[in-house]
Amino acid sequence: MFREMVGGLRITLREMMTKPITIQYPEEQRPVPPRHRGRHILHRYDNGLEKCIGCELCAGACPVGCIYVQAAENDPQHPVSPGERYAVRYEINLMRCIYCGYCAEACPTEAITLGPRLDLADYKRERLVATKDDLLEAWPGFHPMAQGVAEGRGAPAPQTSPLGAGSSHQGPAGSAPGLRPPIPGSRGSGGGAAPI
Amino acid sequence: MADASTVAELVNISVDGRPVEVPPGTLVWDACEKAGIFVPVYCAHKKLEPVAVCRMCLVEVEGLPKLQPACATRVAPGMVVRTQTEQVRKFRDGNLEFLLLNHPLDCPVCDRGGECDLQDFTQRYGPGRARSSITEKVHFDKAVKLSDKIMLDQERCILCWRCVRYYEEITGEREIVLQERGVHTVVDSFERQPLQSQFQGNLPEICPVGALTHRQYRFRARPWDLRRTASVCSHCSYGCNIFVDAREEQIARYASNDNPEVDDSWLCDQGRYGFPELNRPERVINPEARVGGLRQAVSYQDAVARAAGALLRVRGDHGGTSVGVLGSPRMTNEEAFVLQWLAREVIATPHVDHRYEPLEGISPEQFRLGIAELEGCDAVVVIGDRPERLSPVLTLRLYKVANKLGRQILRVPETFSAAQVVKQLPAAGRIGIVAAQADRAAAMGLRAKAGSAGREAAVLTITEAVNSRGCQDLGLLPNVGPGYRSLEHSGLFGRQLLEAAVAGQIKALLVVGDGADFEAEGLFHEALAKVDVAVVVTAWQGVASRAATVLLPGRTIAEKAGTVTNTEGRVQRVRTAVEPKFTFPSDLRILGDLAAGLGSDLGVQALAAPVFELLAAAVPAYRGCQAGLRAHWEPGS
Amino acid sequence: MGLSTRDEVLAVPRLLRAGGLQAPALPGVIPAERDLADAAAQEGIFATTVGKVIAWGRYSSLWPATFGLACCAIEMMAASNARFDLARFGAEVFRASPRQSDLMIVAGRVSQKMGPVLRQIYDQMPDPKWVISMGACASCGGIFNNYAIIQGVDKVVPVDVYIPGCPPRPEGLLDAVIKLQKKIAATPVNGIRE
Repeated sequence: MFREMVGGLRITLREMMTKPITIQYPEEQRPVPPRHRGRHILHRYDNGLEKCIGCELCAGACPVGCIYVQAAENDPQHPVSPGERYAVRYEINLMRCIYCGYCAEACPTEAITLGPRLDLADYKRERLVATKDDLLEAWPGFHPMAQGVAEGRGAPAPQTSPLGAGSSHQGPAGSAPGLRPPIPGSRGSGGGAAPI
Repeated sequence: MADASTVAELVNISVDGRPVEVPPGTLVWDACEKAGIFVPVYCAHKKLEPVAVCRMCLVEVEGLPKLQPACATRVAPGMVVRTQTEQVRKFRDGNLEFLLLNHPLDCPVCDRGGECDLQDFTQRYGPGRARSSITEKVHFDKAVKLSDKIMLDQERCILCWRCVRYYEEITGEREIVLQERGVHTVVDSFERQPLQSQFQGNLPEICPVGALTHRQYRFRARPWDLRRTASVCSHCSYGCNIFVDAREEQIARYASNDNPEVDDSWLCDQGRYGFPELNRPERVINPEARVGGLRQAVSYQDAVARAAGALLRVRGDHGGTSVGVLGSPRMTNEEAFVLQWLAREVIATPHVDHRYEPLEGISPEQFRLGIAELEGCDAVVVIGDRPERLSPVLTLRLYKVANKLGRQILRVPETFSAAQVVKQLPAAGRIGIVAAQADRAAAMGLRAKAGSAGREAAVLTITEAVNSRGCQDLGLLPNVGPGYRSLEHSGLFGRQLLEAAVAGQIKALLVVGDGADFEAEGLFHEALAKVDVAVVVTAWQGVASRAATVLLPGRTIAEKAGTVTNTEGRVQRVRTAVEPKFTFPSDLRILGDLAAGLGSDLGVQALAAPVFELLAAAVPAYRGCQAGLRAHWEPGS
Repeated sequence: MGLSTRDEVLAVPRLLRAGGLQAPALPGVIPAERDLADAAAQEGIFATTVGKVIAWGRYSSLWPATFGLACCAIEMMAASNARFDLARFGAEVFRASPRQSDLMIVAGRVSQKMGPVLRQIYDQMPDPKWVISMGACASCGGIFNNYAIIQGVDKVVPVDVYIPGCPPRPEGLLDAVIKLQKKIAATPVNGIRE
């Protein structure tokens, strides 16, 4: 009987020696997998122009209808995004969202991706509707409406913008991946660190 | 198309093995449609002559060595058509590859995305992948402002010619042309002069791709955002059938809804682009009442009770004739009928009108001619430019009568000598006379003259607002009752009524509808300030809403359900395209509740359909017409 | 100290109600109290209030009622296992009886038929009690925007914390529990709710 008891307790005793697997959550965080689908991020180009062109394909692809987009026409002097169209309102009901990533899938300019953020719980449901300001990637020192593109760091000028007039058609709408402008701070960057 | 004599000799053909019988001269494309087989096409359009330039509709016809364009080939007896063969499939695939060769990848920013024929057909018949690089596309001008209404994107154009042909065949204005040759061909206005036409809004609608788009609708919505409701344009009395596309309870655009009897699928720009009027935020959204000198929000039941009480008090103190009732030509037939009933039977006042200026000497005979019947006239006399200014789409119908059908159109000034005009008319045949309602006397005079000169003449009178005709038919006038019945005691016309109110003879006013005819008049302001009681049911903030002692929130025509009568007497349905921001009952229900408060029940539920039955019982000409038929007035009634 | 602890505890809500004080910046700490605590700390005395002790007791032993309705429940179970260890927050004791629990984690879609049941379970829980609405379905109906599913459990019971996600990861639930603890700590003991 004693042998059986020792045999049974051997596992317990062995595990007593090992390091516990518990993750001390708020202080210590598991690295988020690179393709994790957390809270959405709206990206910018290097010059600060928004990648979102307000095409509403994300809203069309959304299986729960949690995305609302209202598009408007860009002012060529002070564009918000390259091309003719931008999203003047972009709202996601984070509570209704099922984080399926179809919006990122549908996006022709890779403007929206699902980021690493997990801690989304909130006390009020109104606060869980994320507006464009909440979702948009921060871009220090730049406000496209106020400053215009001339001061931006070398990126598609508005006149030859990818979706606008002129010849550069290698733009966001292009389907060849090699021709897209580089995507800074795209998904997965910084592991568990929340970029917003 | 076939007339009675050729119906007997139908041609039998077979489409994909399905036998179809069609009249001789039918296009293979139409025969395919009749057989229930869809043939993709870009250049052909139901209202335009075939040109067969897009080569999308090529089909195999047995016995012919090459593929034939279905949109331009006429049927022959025993023809065997195949639309699903390998060769047809290959041609469609190749054709789409050519079209997409220089087509920009604009779909995400293109307003047409989601309702584009090029997208749809590429999805259905296209190659699926491109063999050429997207960097080698030929580029043209984008976002060209062709006018304040139309945006042109030359890159997206697939050169179907529809816009060019529209201007040639439908309006005759020839404002858009094809320029340059070969791969450099573009559509443009000559030297990029701004378009002048009144009918530009039809261009984006006939354009199969996103080359021509509405500037008003630019980036407003996606097709999947929109809820479409079939309704009637509220701009004029012509009654063009439209689709109201709404996004989040705001009208986003009007689209045409082909009714060959009325609009022939074309809309005018005033109508098409006029809806922002209905989206305005200056709405009355709460019932209000003046309580002890101060206006304050009250409950709906309270407002109705106060309105009824105030009207009863005035009637008790001064008699029914001290109450004036004003409607609006933008009310539905049901509302107009209930309002005149409320005035005459419940309040017992003869003073009821729907317009400012008096309207006398009207009869159904002045509306005898139908819009589509113009095509059956051998000559059409148009009196002055007022009819076409009131209802611009009439111009397109007249152009069709003159140019497609080769009939004589005689435009005469407002003052003319009937004898002179009759002399210029053809010796025999039917004469159509088109006049604005202001010129009805002249039109009837000309008709009499033509009649005595042996011509069969009929008059088409163009009224002013969307339901002016309905208000007249249903007796929302002080001088005639429903169905143009003569009255024992005529009341005061709108203007006289307001003058009487200023003079103190009218103590209470009931104003229902948008009051647009009155709002601009200083007299209206004075009258409202003078009367003891002003019960106002209106959608809009304005003179009337500010002066009201009891105010009830009304609905715009886009928020109502009911029928309106166009100028030729066609009774057509308007449907609730958007919901108002409040949940109070509709105008019709308000009138019903008001009548109940005044001690008289309508007898039916205040809903459009049962009220229409009541109305048809009182005006037999309307019986059975609610689904888009013309009211049939007996001659001489 | 001039004030007895009992007085202090009673004084806090009264002041709050009278509008004399803004809501405390730190949970459970109000300015006047902080001064007292600082003064006492200098003399080596640890001072606290009954309210804070009670709140500490409440938020440190949240006993959830088992209300796993759908897939979110799997993540809820995951949150209670060793890797995430809900026990670190004192919330591992999932009770099968509502009488013994003070937290309801609604994990999953609530059908119209389940609504009254949910409400009854909630009513059977002793006060004070809290509700976490876990996942998109419980919070607003999620993908099930149809006649059969209640579009948000807050139509049936008052919800303290909403967790988005379909389903939220265990970290999401832990985050909600932490946020709920902060809320409990900030709530006056005699139960004035936001």
